[in-house]
Amino acid sequence: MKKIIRILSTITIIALLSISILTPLQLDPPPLKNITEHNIID
Amino acid sequence: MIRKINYLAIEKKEDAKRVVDIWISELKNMIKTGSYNISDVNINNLEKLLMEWKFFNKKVIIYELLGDLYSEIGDINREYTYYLKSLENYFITNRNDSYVIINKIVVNSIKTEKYDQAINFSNLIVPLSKDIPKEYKGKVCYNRALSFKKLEKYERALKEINLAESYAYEIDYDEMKKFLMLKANCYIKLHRYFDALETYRQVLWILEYMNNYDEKCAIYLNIIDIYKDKGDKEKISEYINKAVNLLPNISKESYYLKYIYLELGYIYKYLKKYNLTEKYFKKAFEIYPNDIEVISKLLDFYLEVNNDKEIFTLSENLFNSKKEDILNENQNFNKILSLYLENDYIKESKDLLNKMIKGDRMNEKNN
Repeated sequence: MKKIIRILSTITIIALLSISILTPLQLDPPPLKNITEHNIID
Repeated sequence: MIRKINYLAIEKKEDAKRVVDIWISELKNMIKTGSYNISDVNINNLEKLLMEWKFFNKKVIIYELLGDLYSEIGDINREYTYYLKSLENYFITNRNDSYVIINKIVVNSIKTEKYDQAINFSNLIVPLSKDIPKEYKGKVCYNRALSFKKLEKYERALKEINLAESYAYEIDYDEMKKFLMLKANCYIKLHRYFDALETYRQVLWILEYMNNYDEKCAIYLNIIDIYKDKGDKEKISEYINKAVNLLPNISKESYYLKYIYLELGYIYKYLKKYNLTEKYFKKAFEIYPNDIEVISKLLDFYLEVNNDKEIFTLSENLFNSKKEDILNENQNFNKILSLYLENDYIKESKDLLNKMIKGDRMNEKNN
């Protein structure tokens, strides 16, 4: 039973890591927004 | 001043208008000074006032200011809610400048990684083209380009950046840098390395006269992607050294810092220098201890190198600092439990499960 749990755990880790395996990022600049732009009318 | 208002005493339209104008002034001041002292009760009173007197035009600006305020606080959800309320009221008025608020919603969508939503909202701006100032069109096209790029539609992203550049008739170097950097990043994804390097050179030329060390660092790290593909370890070392030398000059408030540390971690992992990978992932964790992405990447790293001790420490840290909800993200909980079971850590597995169950029960009680 312990051996089965261990095997299943190893498979789970490998499967989960393969989904979120350390992948490089590309550093994109941020979106453009200007919070001081408003128009007030009466 | 807002706290002293007696809403029940307001009987005339002029008085109501005066109160709303006070609010507008106070909100602008809060955003300017960075003092975000505002309560839900006050906002509720204000909203009731706006509805009672049907100040649709004032609603447009108040909700936009509230969105800006929550944007500064970092509450992305409220930011979105108020910007959307502002937009809803635009449609009731005769105003034709909704492109400002729509763009803010686009930016919020990008920040929450809802790129399809960002594109859909920005499509609303297209019919308003004739009313939009040229320089603003550049911003809109750039944000569309960024969204397309995140959706991996690189050719489409390039078309939008070219449009953005065509609208920039007065050179705003700050914006131009971003256009070019995004363009170069798209070229890399399309394996057009010569074009990418040429474009990065243009940005670096602009940056020569500025102290934007974080942007320079980001560019050096992006350039490394090209040399990784070519297997040119000498160039990789050259650029990684350039990037690392800039680190002491980069502010902790920099937008790029988290990504710089994570990317350095990845690159050192590629170079099989795992102690340096750990160093930079840990630096990211020091500065962003509540960031799900940072914690998840650190955890993935420790799992890959089979460092149980650090996983125990990280897991304990999350529970002790009440951040156990992070375990629900990115399959983090499953990963830790699987590792414990793999190594026969039965007691630790039981403790982990009990803590999670206890945490879930507390959440149900609070809800």
